[in-house]
Parts: sequence; structure tokens; C-alpha cells
Amino acid sequence: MHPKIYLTRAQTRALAIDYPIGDPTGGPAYREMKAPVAAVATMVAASSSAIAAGSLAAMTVFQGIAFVGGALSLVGSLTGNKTLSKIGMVAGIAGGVGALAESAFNVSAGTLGDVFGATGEAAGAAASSTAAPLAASQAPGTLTPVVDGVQTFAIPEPSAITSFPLDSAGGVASTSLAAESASLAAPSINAPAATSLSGTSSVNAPATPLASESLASAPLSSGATNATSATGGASGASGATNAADSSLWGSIKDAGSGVMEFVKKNPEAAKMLSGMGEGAANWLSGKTDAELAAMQSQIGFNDVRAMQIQEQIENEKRRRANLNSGYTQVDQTVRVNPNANIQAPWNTPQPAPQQYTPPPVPQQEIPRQQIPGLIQAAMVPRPA
Amino acid sequence: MATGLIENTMRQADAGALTPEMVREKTQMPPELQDAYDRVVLAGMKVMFSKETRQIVLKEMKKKGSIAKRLGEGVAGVMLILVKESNNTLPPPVVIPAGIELVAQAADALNKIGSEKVTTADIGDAMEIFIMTVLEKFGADPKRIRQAVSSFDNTAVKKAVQEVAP
Repeated sequence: MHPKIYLTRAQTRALAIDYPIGDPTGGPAYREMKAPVAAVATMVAASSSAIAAGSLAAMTVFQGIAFVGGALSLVGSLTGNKTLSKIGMVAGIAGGVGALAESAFNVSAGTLGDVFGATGEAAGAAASSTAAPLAASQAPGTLTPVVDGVQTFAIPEPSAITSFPLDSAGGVASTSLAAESASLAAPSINAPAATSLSGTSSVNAPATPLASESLASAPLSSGATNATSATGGASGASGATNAADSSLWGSIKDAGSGVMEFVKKNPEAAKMLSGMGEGAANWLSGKTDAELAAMQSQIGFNDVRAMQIQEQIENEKRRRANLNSGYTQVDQTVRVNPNANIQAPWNTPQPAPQQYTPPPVPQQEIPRQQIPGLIQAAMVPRPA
Repeated sequence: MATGLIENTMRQADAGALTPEMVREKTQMPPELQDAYDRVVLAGMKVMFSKETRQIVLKEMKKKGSIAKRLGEGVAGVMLILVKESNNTLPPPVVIPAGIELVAQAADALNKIGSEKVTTADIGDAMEIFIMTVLEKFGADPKRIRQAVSSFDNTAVKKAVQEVAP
């Protein structure tokens, strides 16, 4: 007969910090598979506070390129358009579209741009200046409706298209086109049920008012101009950025960062990196203490990307410490020491990994009367 | 400049070589976005081909510039108008795939109408212009995209992938 151990409410709450009780999608047994591009978009939003909400929307637009990679490759081969062929090839590589998006938006180091060789100095040059034009008109964190499970964001005004000039209010300048598009598009797009783009009538009425009116006051051209002038002004950074772009793909195998070496020595880690933030905890939970220590020594603290992985490993170690202590004392802090002096492991012989010995199972049954449980307290006989 | 036989053959004006059905077949949308993709393409075709708006669209298409530029920018304008008219509920990942198909549909329609001859090469250039225009409106730098794509070396990537996952 197995002894039953009752947890107190405090212990249950402490355990829920790592794995929420009753959540069918929580814990190490559940894995959520996501495309690398989606993981990149999520990772970029979580890691860099300098990226405005508009940039995340733009990177989500890049995600569409991954879906038409085959079509673009076909069109490129039929038409002889090398740009389309290469974009199609990039779309076919895991994380390729994410790296292309980072190059397009000049995202700073700490993302897959590091893995593909873009240096921190060049890739981070004027990163904040190339934020999407929406940053000037939309407050960060503005809620927008979720359509078909995809978070939508404010879309820039289509004001700079020469074929369809728009007025200052954001409407189509051509009166006939404006009238026809308003009468035609409104009932077919915004109508609920069958003809609505979202497919659900509730989405057409967003919970919070969107910043569409404020977008008109910040035309797209000004944002683009600002980005251009900021990029052009920093000529040195621009030159370094161009050099980094030219070697963006060519230096992939010579990235030299601790992350790349870690990936080479741990092929499975590529899967973890592609699903960073989602699958990292699940992947790390299957590693022994010795393997975690080996990973920490291999990664180092060279860049923000390595720091992120170190944080994930420290989080796993903290969870194990809490678990081993029976959640009687819960440590909620994660400490990563960036000043640790770690030697490059690929130049020094690696020590033999230590054998993991599980903690001894207590043989003695815990007396029931010593367990301060709710049920036990309820079973205490009442005085006559 | 002398070019190879294969490249010459690829760039010949063959309007029937690339059809919208071929583009749609090669587009792989995830299931959760397939419905939105179909609706956006349908709405775009309504804007471009309906009795009320097609003359206006054709008038825009007759402006100066190469057919590829007019086609690419025209479809980009239609897509951005759809996004605006949808009150920003249109999923951003659908914009480029739907626009690619709309470019093919518009080129096919122009060839069938006979008002203008759109070659396969023009379709490819129009798609490229469409992608760059849309990404530029979302804050990307087309110059950096072209630079990154032009310096793309598939051999280095293949070697790196083999090293990571043997």
C-alpha cells in the first residue's frame, strides 16, 4: 500500500509556480509545436523592449513569405527572377525567413541574427530608429483583436501607393474609387458570418478601440523618412551594416559565438533554439544535472542569446532545487552571473560527465498525525 | 549580352506558362489561416473585377510605367485598402500570399481581356515589386532585403545545416 502524502495549500501553490495544477497544457508532458518563424517573432517581442508593436506586425507579415516559398520558387524558375528564387529558397530553410526579417528591420543582437553571423555591433546599429512608423502613432501594448488565433496589429495607412492616393483622413482620394470601394468592401468584408474576413462577427467589433484614426495623423511616409534619415545619418554604422549583410549568409558556419559551438556539440539543441521559450523548458527537463552543467560551460556569456539560454538553464536548475526540497522552501529567483569567467570549452579537454544519482527515497513512512493536511484536520473528532 | 539557351527559354513571352492555379497550388497556408486567405483573395478579386470598380482599376493600370510596376503596386494598393477596410482584422500573414495570387489573377485577366500583354517575366517582376512594396509599408527596408537575398549563398547554409543536424 503506497503511503498517501497530502500537500498543504501553500505547497500546492508553490508547486503551481512551475507547473500549474489542473492545466492540461502545462507541465513537461505537453509540447506545443510552432513554426520557427512564429518562435522568432515571439522571442523578439519578449527579448527586446526597443521593438515597437508595429515591428512585430511587420515580422508577422514576413511569416506569410514562409507560406508562399514554394510558389515564389516556382515563379522564380519560370520567370528567371533570381530574387524570387532566392526568397523561395530562404523560405524553405528553418528560421530563414526570421533571419531575413531581422536583416530587414535591423534587429539588434540576441536573436537568430547572431546565429547567422550578423555581429552585434552592425546588427544593432540604429535598431530603434528603424522601428515601424506605427511607433509614432500607436502606443505600445495597444490591444487589438485576435483573428483566427493570430494576434492582429495596427496596419499602416496605404497612403504612399501612387496608384491609389489617399487623403489625409486615410480614405481613398479618388472619389469614384472611394465610393465604390466603401460600398463594395464594407458589406463584403465587415459583414458578419459568411462574407467577413475574420469569419466571426465578434471579431469585427474589437474590444478596445483601434488606433486607426491616430494612424492618419502619422502618415507612413514620415515614418519611412525618419527611418531612412536615421540610417543614412549613421554612415559608419550603415557601412558596417552593409558589410554584415554581405556576410550574413556566408559566415554562418564561422559565427564563432558560443551559441553556434553549443549547437554543433548538441544537435538536439537546434530544435530547442527554434522553439525557444516554448519547448526549451520541456527539453531541459529531460537533461541530467551533469548535462546542464556541461551546457552552461559550453555556452558561456558571450552575447544576449547565450544569456537567454543561460537563464533557461538556471530556471530549470531552480525548479529542480524546489522539487528536491519538497517545495517546503520555494526559490522564485533566477540568478545568472554574466561576469563568470568561463573558458572556451572547445579548446580544452572536457571532463567526464558525472553520473546522476537520484536522491534516496525515504523508507520511513511519515506518520499521519504529523501531516498538517486539511483532510486530517477535518477528520479530528469533534468534542462531545 | 549573350545568354544561355535555357535562360532564354525561361524568359520567353509565354503568357500561358504561369497560371493563378499553379500559384495557388504551390501556396501552403496553415489550416487556421486558409479560410482568411480564401476570403481575402475573393475580396481582392471583387475589388479588381466587379462591374463597379473594374474600370477604375483598369484606368489606374493604364498609367505610365512598366506593366510589372503598375501591376505590383496596384495589387499592393488593393491589399492595403482591404486591410484598412477590414478594420485591421485581416491577419498580417495572409497579406503576402493573397497578394501573390491576386497578381497572378490580375495578369491572367489582362491577358484574357487583351488590353495589355503580360509576359511571365512581367508576372515575376510584379510579384517582386508587390512583396517589396508591402514590406516597405510595414517598415522594412527593401534595400536591406535585396542585399541580404543577393548575398545568400545556399552552399554555406547547406553545410551548416549538415553540421548542426547530421
